[in-house]
Amino acid sequence: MQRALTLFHKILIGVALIVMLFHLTVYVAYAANLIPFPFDYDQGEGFELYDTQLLSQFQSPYRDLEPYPYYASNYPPVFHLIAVPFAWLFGPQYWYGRLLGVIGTLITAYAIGYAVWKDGQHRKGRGRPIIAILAGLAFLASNITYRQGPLLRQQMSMVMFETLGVVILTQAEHLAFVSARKTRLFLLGFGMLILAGYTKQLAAYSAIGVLIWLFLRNPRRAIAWGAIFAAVGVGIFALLYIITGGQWWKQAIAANANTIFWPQVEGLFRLWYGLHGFLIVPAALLCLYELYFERLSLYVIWFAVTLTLGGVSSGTWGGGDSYFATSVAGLTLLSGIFFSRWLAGDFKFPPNYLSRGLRLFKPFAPLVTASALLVVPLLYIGYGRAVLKMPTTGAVFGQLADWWDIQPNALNGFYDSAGRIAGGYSDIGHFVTEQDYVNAERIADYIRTSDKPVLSEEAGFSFRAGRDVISNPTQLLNIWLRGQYDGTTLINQIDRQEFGYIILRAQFYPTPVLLAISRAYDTVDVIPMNGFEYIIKAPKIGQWSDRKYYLQ
Amino acid sequence: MIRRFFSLEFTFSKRLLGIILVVGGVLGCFALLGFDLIRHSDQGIGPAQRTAMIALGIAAVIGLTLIPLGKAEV
Repeated sequence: MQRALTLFHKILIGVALIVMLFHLTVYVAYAANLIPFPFDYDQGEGFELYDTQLLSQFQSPYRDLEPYPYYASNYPPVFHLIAVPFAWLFGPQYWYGRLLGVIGTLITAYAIGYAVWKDGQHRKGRGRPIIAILAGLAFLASNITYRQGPLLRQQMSMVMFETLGVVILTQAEHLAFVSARKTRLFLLGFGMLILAGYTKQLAAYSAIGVLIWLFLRNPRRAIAWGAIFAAVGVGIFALLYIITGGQWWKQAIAANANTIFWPQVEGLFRLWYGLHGFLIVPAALLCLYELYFERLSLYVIWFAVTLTLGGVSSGTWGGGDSYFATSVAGLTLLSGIFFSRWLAGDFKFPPNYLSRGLRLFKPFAPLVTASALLVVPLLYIGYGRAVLKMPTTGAVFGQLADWWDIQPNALNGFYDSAGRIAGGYSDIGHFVTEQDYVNAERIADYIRTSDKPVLSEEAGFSFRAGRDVISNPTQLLNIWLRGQYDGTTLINQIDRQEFGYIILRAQFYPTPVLLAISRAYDTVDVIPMNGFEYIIKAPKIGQWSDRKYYLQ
Repeated sequence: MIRRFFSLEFTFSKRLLGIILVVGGVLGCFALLGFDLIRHSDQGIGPAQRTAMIALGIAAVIGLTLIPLGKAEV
């Protein structure tokens, strides 16, 4: 019986591995498709590239938005600084930023696998490599990781630094005695958290989780390490504030304080659970186990804090499903540890009022442990189905979609199990097509052929045409919503028709700017790209008489 | 007691954490209700307040279940 069960376990684990490797293949195919695309895929990528360009020329991306070119960044600089050597070597290119994102996810997956394996080693002297591998692959298989990974965005680099920080701090805590090595590991772990925080502001939630854990373990140590951590963090903050003449605070901090749209939070929590439920339940069980029968690990507190705060923040303007990325790292890590311990029968129930109640089930303990042999791989297989996303066209994926009867439900013939229902779940993840390249070049041609500057809502077309990047619409909107953007200079320039063309996509500019555009410019072309419609606007003829009418 | 709290040996017990969660949860709920009364809002309790009150309520319930665990370390 035991031999049959073990054999069945091995077969199911093999199937689970195949499922996860299929997801990895889709991820690699998506990354390979997207990395060479020389335009914005997710709106805002071009501005991250522009930040890198500015930093590579030793210029600050935190600038006053009022004068030309109306540009400022709202993200901290670490991700862009990492890309600076590439900018020196290759100029403004999208591929290296996207490659950095993918590498970040691979390192995170490795860190998750390492943490799962190390937990088994620490407790039983033997880790479970196969569960560690499945846990790492499960992180990569998540729709959220998949979609964000190959973007030229700083989100997944932040998750990488956060995960590395938390894993390193946990390993440091496992060291029995206070030693130089332990101190070095703590410094390294906190260093990673600082890097995470200066990659993206959202990493503050991880820092909160770490400090809560440290405080519960020992308040004195928490205060000491917290003081060092805060001194370094505040020191860098103050330096940036001084260097940028206060623009760092205005653009990167004040501009990002947005209100929460609660229906979006609820929708994204439902989606998050629908996609990851097969692993959320085991992760939650480990949280409960540690709460009532063991000491709370950093992983549990990190997961709880980043899930709660990140989930709530996902409802802000500019937020979205990506705000759950850290909690996905946490849940794949915790579920991996839960499975590893379950397979090893490594759950102890010290005497308390709850374990007395559980005593009734003690005769079933061997059965429960043996059931892990079947349930654990089945949960990974179920998770693999829940997060299914793939193209439904092409030689291989088209054939698979036919076999599995999968119909596209997203852009460019893509299938995504998440659907496109929840607000804040953006239209990305699909592959770009040859037609997208052609159409993107058509849009860039408008800039090339204009002898005037062109106001574009995405920077990619300006980079491609070798022209100035003018304006960061989302940042203009952020600052305008705070009541700190006047916009007279830009609006006057629009009214005077000083731009050869205006290229719009989501129309994120502040309302007065959009009104000025509709006053002075007419739509002359609409070009689809990546499933979105790009509106090309040219100056209205007879504009000055119209304008006189408006000024009356 | 303060000296012990800030010693290198001190760590939170499940009981102490439970008490903190109960007290924090209950006081937090009252504070939110009080805030609503002071604000004189016609709209009543908003979604953010409701979410915060549910979270504080859950924290208080978890706290109650932790108190009987006594000196076990968090």
